[in-house]
Amino acid sequence: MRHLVLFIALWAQVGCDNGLVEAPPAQPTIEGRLTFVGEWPAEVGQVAVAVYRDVPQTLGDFFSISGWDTEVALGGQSYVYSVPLEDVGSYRWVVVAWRRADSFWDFSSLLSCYHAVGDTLPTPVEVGAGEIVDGIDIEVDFADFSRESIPGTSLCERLLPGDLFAELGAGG
Amino acid sequence: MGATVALVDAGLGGHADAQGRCLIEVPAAGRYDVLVSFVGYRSLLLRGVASDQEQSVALQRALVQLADVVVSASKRVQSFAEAPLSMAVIEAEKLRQYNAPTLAEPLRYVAGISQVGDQISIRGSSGFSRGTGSRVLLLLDGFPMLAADLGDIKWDAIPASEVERVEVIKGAGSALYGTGALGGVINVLTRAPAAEPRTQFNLISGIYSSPAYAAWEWTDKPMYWSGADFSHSRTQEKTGWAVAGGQQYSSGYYENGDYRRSHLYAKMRQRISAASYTQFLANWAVDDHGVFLQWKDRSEPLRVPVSDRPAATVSKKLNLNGEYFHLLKPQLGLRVKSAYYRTAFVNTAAAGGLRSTAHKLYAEMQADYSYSSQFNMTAGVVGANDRVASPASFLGRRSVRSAALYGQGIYTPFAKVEFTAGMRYDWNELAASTVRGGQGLCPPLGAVSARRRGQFSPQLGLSYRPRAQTTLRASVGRGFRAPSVSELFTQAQASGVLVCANPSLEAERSWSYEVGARQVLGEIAFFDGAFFWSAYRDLIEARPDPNSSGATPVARFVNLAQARVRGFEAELHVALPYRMEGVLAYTYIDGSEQLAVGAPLPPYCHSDYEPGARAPLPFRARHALRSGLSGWRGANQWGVDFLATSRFERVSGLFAECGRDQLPVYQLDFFVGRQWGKLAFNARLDNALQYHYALGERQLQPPRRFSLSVAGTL
Repeated sequence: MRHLVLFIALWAQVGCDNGLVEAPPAQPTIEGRLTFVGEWPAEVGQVAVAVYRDVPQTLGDFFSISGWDTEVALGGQSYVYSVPLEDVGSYRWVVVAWRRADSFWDFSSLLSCYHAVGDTLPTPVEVGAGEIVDGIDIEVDFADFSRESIPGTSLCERLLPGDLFAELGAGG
Repeated sequence: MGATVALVDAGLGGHADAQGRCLIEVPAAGRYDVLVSFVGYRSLLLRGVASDQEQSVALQRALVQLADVVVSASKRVQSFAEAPLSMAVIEAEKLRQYNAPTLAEPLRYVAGISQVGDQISIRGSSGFSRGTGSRVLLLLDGFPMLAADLGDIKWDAIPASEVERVEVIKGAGSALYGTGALGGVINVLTRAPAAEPRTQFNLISGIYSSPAYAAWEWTDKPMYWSGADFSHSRTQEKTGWAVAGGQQYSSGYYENGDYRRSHLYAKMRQRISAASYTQFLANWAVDDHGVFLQWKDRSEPLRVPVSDRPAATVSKKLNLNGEYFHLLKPQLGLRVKSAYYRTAFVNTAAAGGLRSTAHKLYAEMQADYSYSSQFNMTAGVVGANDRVASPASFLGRRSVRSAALYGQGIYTPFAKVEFTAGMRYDWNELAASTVRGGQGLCPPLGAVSARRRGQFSPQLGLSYRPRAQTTLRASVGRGFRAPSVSELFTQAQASGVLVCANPSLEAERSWSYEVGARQVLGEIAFFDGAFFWSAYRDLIEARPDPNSSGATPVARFVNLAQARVRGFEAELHVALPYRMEGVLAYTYIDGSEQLAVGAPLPPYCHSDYEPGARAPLPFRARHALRSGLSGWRGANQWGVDFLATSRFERVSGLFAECGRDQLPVYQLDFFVGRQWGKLAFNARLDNALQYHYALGERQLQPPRRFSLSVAGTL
C-alpha cells in the first residue's frame, strides 16, 4: 500500500505535464462589432475598418494606416471585425470607410468611426502588449450616407484640419 | 432496520424487523415478484411468490458492489443480469462522493459516457452542439426532461440531493422511450418518502487552484463553489411526503463562470388502497449565471472577450408530474402518468439577446401484464405537446404534437433464456409557420408548412445464462430522433459566431446492434464486455457553412448522409485484499461519417479529407480508460480515480486553430470519507495533476480543485 501511494505521488510529479502550455502573448489587436442600420446603398462596393495612430493631417496621412480589415461582408446587419496591429500604444482614429466597386480606396469616404457613448469626438483606443482590445463597436447608419452635411461637422471629421477639406475639394 | 422487502411493479413493501421478519399485506391472493435488498449485500429477486407463502431467504454479502435490479431497460423491474442491453447503475452513496453541484460531473466516471461542456454522449453517439438536441434522453422518475425548445438537458433542474440512484442504458432506447433516446437513456430515480421522520442536510464547499501559469490568472479573489441542501421526509399513515430546497453559488474558475442557483422540490406519495397509490412531484429551479462562449485569446484562456463580459443568462425550470398506479389483479398493473415541464431563459444582449419559453405537456398510460411466469408484457400509449414562444428573430413560435404506441414482451421459455421483443410507433407533427426575416448574415426563412412524421422502432433482445455466473446478451434495435426546435429554427449571433436556421432538417435514424457478456468470477470479480455498432442515416450535426466568408464563422445543423459508430467496451470490478475494490474500464470508439460527394468542405481543418471519403465524427475520443481503486476500514473510506482519453481527431472546423488545443485527457482524483455519528464527511481532490485541457473549442476544463462536504441527519 505504501509503495502504491509513493508510486502515485512520484508519477503525479514527474509522469505528467500540465497539458496545455502557456501561449505567447497575442499580437496587439483591436476588435469589435460593426452594426449596420438601414438599407445598404447600391453604390457601396467594399467596406473596411481602418485604424490610425493619429488623425490624418494631410492627404498622405490617410495612407498611414496602422491596420485594417477589408473583409467586411456586404449586405449584413452586423460584422465582427479584427484589426491586428504592429505596435502597442494609443490609436486615435478607428474609422469605417467605403468605396465604389470601380474606384480606389482613399479612406476619406467615411461611414462612421469609433466613439464612446457620450463622446463628441472620436475616442482613442489604448492597446497594450499582447492585448486584444475588443468591444470597439461601431454603428453605421446608412441614413447618414445620402444626407448632405457641412464638411468637418460630423463627429468623425471634427479632428481633421480645415485645410484638409479644402484639399479634398470640400467633398471628401 | 433490516432488509427492504418490496413487491415489484406493485409499489408495496416494508422492512424486516430485528428478527428479520417482514409481513406484507397484498391486495389480492396471487403470485408476486419479491425483491429483497440490504446495503452491502447482494439483492435477491424472487419470481412468482404465492401470497400465502412464507418465504425464507439468505442474502449473501457482496464483495464487489454491483447493481442487482434495474427498472429502465424494460420499463419494469428486472434483475441487472437479465437486462438485454448494456447498463450502468450509480447509487446515491457513490454520487455523493463526487461533491458535485449537479449530476453531470459524476456521470463522466461511468464507462462509455463522455462529456463535452454539459453535453452527455453515450458510446460516441453525440459530438458537441452546446447541449442542443441531446441524443441522450434524461428521465426523472421515468418522465422525460428534455427542454421543448433546445432539446437539451438542464442539469440544475435535477434535484441532486434527492436522487436515490441513476440508471444508464447504453444504446438506442427508442423502442420504449421514443425520440431523444437515440444514443441512450439516463433515468434518475428519486428517493421514496422516508417511513420515519427524517431531516437531512448536505453542505458542500470547494476551491479551485490558480492556473499553472500566472499569465492565465484572471482574478485575485478565491475561486470557489458552495452549496447547501436541506430536506425533510416522513410518512403519516398512508401519505408519505418529502420537501427539499437548496442554493448554490460559485465564482467560477473562469471569467463569467459565476452562478447563483436555487431549487425547491416536493414529492408526495399517497396510498389509496392496498392495490393503488398516487404520486406527485414538483420541482422548481432558477439559475442566474454568466456566459462563457469562448476565451478571449489562447494567451488568456480564462478570460472572455471584453465585449462578452456582460454576457449572462437567467434560466428557470418548473417540472410537475403525477402518477397513478392500480394493481387491477396480481397479474395486471395499470399506470397513468402526466407531466408538465416549463423552461424559460433570457440572455443579455452580449450573450446574443436570446430568450425563449418552452412548455412540454406529457401523458402516458402503461399496462404491465404477467400472463404466466414465462411471459410478461408491457404496453402503453403516449401523447405530448411541445410549445415554444420566442422572438421571431430567434426561434419564433413553434408547436409540436406527438403521440406513440409501444409494446414489449418478455418471454422466458427456459430458466436460462429470456427473449425480449418490442415495438414502438411514434408520430409527430410540427405546426406550420409564416415567413420571417434573417438574422445578420442568415438568409430569410420562407413559410414552413406543417410537417408530419411517423417512425417504427422495433427492438429484439436475447439474454442467455448458460451458467449461474454467466450471462450472454444480444440486441438489435432501431432508434430515431426528431430534430429539436432549436436545431430547425435557431438564428442567433453571439461572441462572433452566427448560427442560421435549417428548417428542412430530417429526423435522424439508426440501427444499433450489440452483443455482450457478463461474468461473475468466483464472487470476487465481475466482468462486463460488449461489442456495439450503430449505423446512422441523416445524423444531425452542427457544421460550419462552407460558403460563408469574412471573420464571422457561420454554423447550421445539417443531416449527414451516412455515419456509423462502432466499438467495444470492457469493464472489470475486482474485490481486493484489505477491503479494497478495483475498477478498470476501457471503451474503444470508431465513429466516422461518409463525406458527401461534390459538397464543399468547411474552410478550416478539413484539408486532410476528400469528398466521398470517410472522416472521423467530431468530438469523439477513440480511446477512453477509466480506473479506480477504493477501500474502506470501519467508518473510513478512501478512493482514487484515473481517467484518460485520447485527443479528438476532429473538431467543428468553425475556427482556424482546428484541434490545436484538444489534447489527450489525464485526470487523477482522490477522495477520503468518514462517517462520524450522524455526520458523513467527504474530502476530495479533483484533477490532482493540475492538467489543463480543452474539450469544447476555446474553453478550458476545470483546474485542480479541493472540496469538502458534510452530510448529516438531524
